[in-house]
Amino acid sequence: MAELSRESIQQNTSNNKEVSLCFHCGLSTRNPLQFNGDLSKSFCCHGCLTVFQIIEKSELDQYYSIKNDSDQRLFIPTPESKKNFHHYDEANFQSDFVENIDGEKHIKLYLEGVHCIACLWLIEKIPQILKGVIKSHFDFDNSVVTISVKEELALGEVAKLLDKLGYTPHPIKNEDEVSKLKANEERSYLIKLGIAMACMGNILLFSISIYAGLEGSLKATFNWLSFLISLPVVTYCATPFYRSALSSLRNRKPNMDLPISVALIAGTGSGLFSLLTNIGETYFDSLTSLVFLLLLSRYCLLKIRQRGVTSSNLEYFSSFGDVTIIKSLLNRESRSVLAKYVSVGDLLLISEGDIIPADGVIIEGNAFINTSLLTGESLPIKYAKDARVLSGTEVITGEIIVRVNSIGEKTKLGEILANVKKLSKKQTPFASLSDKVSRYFIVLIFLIATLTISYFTLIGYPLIGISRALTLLIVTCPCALALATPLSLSAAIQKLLKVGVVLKSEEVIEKLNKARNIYLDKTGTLTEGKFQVLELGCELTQNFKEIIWTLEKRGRHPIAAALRSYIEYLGPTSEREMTEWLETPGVGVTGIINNQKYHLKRTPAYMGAGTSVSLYEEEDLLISIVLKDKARIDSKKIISKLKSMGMNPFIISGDSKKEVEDLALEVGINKDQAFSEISPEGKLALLSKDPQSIMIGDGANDAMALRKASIGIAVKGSLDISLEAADIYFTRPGISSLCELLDTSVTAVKVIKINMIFSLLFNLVGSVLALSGIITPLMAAVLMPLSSLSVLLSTYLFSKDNS
Amino acid sequence: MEALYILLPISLILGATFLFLFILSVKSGDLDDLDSPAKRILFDDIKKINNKESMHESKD
Repeated sequence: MAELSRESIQQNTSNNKEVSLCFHCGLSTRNPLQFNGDLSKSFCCHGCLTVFQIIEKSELDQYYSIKNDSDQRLFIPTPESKKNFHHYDEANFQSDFVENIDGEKHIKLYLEGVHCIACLWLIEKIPQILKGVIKSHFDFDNSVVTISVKEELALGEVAKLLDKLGYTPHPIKNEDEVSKLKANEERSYLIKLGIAMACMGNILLFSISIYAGLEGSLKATFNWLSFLISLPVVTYCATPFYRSALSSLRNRKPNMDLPISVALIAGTGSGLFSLLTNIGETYFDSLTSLVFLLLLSRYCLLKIRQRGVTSSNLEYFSSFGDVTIIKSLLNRESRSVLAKYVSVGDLLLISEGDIIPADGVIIEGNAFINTSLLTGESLPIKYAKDARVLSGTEVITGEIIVRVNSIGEKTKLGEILANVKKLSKKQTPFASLSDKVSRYFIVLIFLIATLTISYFTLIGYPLIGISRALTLLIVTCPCALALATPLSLSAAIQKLLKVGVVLKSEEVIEKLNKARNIYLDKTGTLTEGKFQVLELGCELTQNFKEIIWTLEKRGRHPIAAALRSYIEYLGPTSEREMTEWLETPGVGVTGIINNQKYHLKRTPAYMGAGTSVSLYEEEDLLISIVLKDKARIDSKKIISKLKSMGMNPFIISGDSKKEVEDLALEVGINKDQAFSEISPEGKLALLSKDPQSIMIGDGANDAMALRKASIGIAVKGSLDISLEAADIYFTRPGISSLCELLDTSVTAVKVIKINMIFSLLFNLVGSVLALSGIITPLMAAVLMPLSSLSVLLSTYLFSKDNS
Repeated sequence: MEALYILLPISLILGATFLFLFILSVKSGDLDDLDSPAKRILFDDIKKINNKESMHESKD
């Protein structure tokens, strides 16, 4: 494994702030890192540099040429990761996720962060990077890699490598029954499609000669052969239609498979009758074409739909990863396990940046903990020995050892989750427009068909009656009508996936069109959710920078972390000699540098909200720095865009009035539309009063409101519970994807309406032609799927136009 | 016309054979992932070009 050799890495410390592009991810950077003094390659961060080193060492530089050839628009720097993934080799993990075949271990991992075919190439070259990996097979559409390794190689190493390359791995349960069933279903669909096509082709060959005027014994042979060949189609291939028609009868909600099934059975019956009596026409060509074309359009739909990540994939985004369990306090022996295997009584070592996976009591150490996801409180709170910590809260600074009291459903988070699950999601059963229309339509068609047969029987031509009724049933089959909605919705889902929006169900798109009020959570949604330097009292000179860096180097307060990351962002800073360093919780830090005593302490904020710290040399004030949980850069822009789209944004937060109103002012939301100090129950009550609304949030305190709202959206960094409660998940931070989401949903519904009008017109003309006997069943069988095809085409064109 | 009585069964048997092969390939999972292999082809091409180049170089 390529280790970072620090001495060979040079940071461009000169003051020329020329912007250069990261060789690995393409992001522009003002403080490029260089490797081995190679000035032609600069990197934005150590993460990207690490990846480059691994790639170069394994002689896989071809990655970059493939990457440049492929269309890559996303610039995402590779995060530097320190995870060790030892839990991949624990027995309980292995039994859940790993399959052992002939001394080889197989594991499936969902990879986050795959964006182009160069990634596919790199991932499949893993055997070249890591000895012991036998095969790596990547499924690009589902972002799932299947890796086989030799018995002696630790799977943790594989996961670590993937993580270092920038692809966060999430294990997938081995041979999940559901996915197996799904794959089987898809395969059987494909087989049916193949059989239907082969049979249709052969029958059409026979019919050509019959239409051309074949007579006599050959005609009879051809007809009988057609009948025999059509049998597998109407019995086996058409089973999906029969099954769906039967269940629709049972539910008393006629669907479009009903007329298809009736047409198939009646057509085969009357065909056999004409074969035996030699009177009238056979319709085997029409019937097999109908089945084939219908199966084809549905298979296309199935394929398109599969591309969208659906709720089943959401579990991969679980916010709890692995945790370190300490076996004994004496020698600090520890091992890491997956959070879900933690049991009561375990001692957990939780350090900076970890999310606490269970409720427990601190038995050693202290830490600042961000409880905002659970309570909505934006400032981190200090927890010391004997304090109770809750599952789902995040350690910002410090390191603690926690004894687990309760796990799973017994935790506070579990209780909230149970409450959320109790809330019924749907206030009114939501039936999409097309469902309603096609239901009435089918009843109407059956009525007309029955009338037609009765009429022609009465006047003495039952065969003509059957033929025309059959034509009518085939030509008016509301497939286009039924296809229009799912197709447009799937197109929208795919498009949204590309901009980082995951939809749990399709119906939210139609609902989005009706909502006008948007309720936004504050912390983590509109804001970054962590302290950041907002403004400086005067210029931050190199001298001040070094003093603050030295003072805060070991600081545990979140402000220290914020200052450190700010100074790091500005560029490299050297540490100075310091003595008598002292951190006084709640006050600040002091230390002696160059025989001068420096204080960095908290001072009252002089203007507006936020927290202010000041640096003193002895008693002289050097600089004041204001820190704040800043609004995201794009929040204001998005709010104003939302307003121009006719949406009505609200802030709904558990925070203090001042904080909320300041933010409202900053992002441009009216003061009286900013609700502060709202409890989770309060949020729920507000949303209950406004049934057609969108709620956006991240924490457990938002979960109930997310569930209650017509549309709940969880933003990146949300807790599992919010993901569970929400209908939509943003995989990019903040609300940047919101406008795209709304735009796309408006387009999708427009396309649905256009398609519906078109297919209704088509069916109207078709029925007139069928009833007057101008078109035959075969023509109908060709025309009907044509209308489906045109719907496919128009969906494609309209969805494309607006992108 | 009598030829038809021989040709017809042959054509049907041929058709059935290919259909059978198709079903086999579906069942073995050949058609489960249609996109990644299509992309993989691109990489192989690049490799071949590299090989050719190196062969040319060695000849020179």
